[in-house]
Amino acid sequence: MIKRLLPHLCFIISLMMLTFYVVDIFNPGMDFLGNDIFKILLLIYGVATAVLSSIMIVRQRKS
Amino acid sequence: MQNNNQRGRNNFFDDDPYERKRSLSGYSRKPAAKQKKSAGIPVVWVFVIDTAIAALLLFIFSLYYFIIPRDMSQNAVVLPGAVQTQETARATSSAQGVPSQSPEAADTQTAAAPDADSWRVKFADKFTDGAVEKTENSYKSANVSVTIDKVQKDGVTYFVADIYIADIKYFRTAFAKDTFGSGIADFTPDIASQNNAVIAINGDYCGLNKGIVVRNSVQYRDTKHTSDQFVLFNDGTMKAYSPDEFDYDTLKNQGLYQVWTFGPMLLKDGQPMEKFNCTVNPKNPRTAVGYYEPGHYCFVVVDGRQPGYSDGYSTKEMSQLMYSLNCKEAFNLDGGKSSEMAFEGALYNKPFDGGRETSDILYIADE
Repeated sequence: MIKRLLPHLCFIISLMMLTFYVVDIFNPGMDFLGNDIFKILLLIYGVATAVLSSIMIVRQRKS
Repeated sequence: MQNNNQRGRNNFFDDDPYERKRSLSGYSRKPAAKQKKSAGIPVVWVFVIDTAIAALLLFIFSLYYFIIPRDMSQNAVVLPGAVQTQETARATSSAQGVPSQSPEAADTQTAAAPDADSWRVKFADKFTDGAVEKTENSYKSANVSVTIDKVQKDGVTYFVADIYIADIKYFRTAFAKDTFGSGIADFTPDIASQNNAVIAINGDYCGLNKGIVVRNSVQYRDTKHTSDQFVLFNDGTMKAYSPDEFDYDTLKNQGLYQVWTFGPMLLKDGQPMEKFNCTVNPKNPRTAVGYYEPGHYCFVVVDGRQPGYSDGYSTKEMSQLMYSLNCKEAFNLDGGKSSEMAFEGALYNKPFDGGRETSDILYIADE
């Protein structure tokens, strides 16, 4: 289940973070990249990517 | 084998990418039943659904942070040496947990408060003996003097309000619906009317933007930001600060009356600038506040994005304009559709696309 969800989670969060990044360029006053939500997303993204990468590496080694 | 190939093409998000490879080559280890179960919706739809979920989450984020009204004045603190205005009293009474002023603060107040008569005497020729004199573009009383000039030059229309006040307490700020928070906004003329403003311009949209917020001697937010800051001190002086120069912890004990976070600053040591701490530099409708000397200020609103009437100004042109007005300090506030000037409660300029609601205003009061 986790293996199936992780790529989707990474994809969704990366889209959100890219949106924040682009909007922040045009309106830095709103401080999207310093927002608490952005920091939480970054944390989740980091953990999800690390787990997903680990799974991929282990599978590569096995194959 | 053909079936396996078909499944491999359709199910991009299969559990095991190597299984897909094996499946394509016909050497799958998975039972046929399991492979059939994993065959799902087309890959395009998977991306569409994920993108829709991301959009939904972004929408919820916007709702929570920017659209749903949220009162953020719970942590309001009256700063040392507060100038006593109706707004300060109101903010003090409405804010929860506002500490009472310390004796040191009271001393600071005594030391920092300007001589109430000094500006009245210095600018005596600007004020009346008590009667209120009004015209279409001016307002004079015993306390304030406001004269608005409309200038049309080189395809740009702008308004300059020359302002003299007899005491710092007549220079005030106000929030939409009298509340500091996100998702709380109103049009500049409406906020001006509710506060009996003689003249008003939009502020820095502090409810939406980040950074330090001090209004009428009350600190509403103390989080630092990378934008420039503009300060009006209790003694009537104004100064613009870059983020590096702005030491809030020191300044907040030196009689802060108003702090705006937006910018960019438009003058450096009284001289026009070439580079700005801002990414929105092209021609736009703009609002700025200028400082000449304690008790003498100007509000400037430049209309824009309206070919044939007014194109607007770039930050560089705005800097040149404030320099040509002989301002010593000048600061750019929220612009675009927000740029509005209200005189006697009525809209005075012609904002782009009818204007937009804002969270706060700067205004001159006569009571």
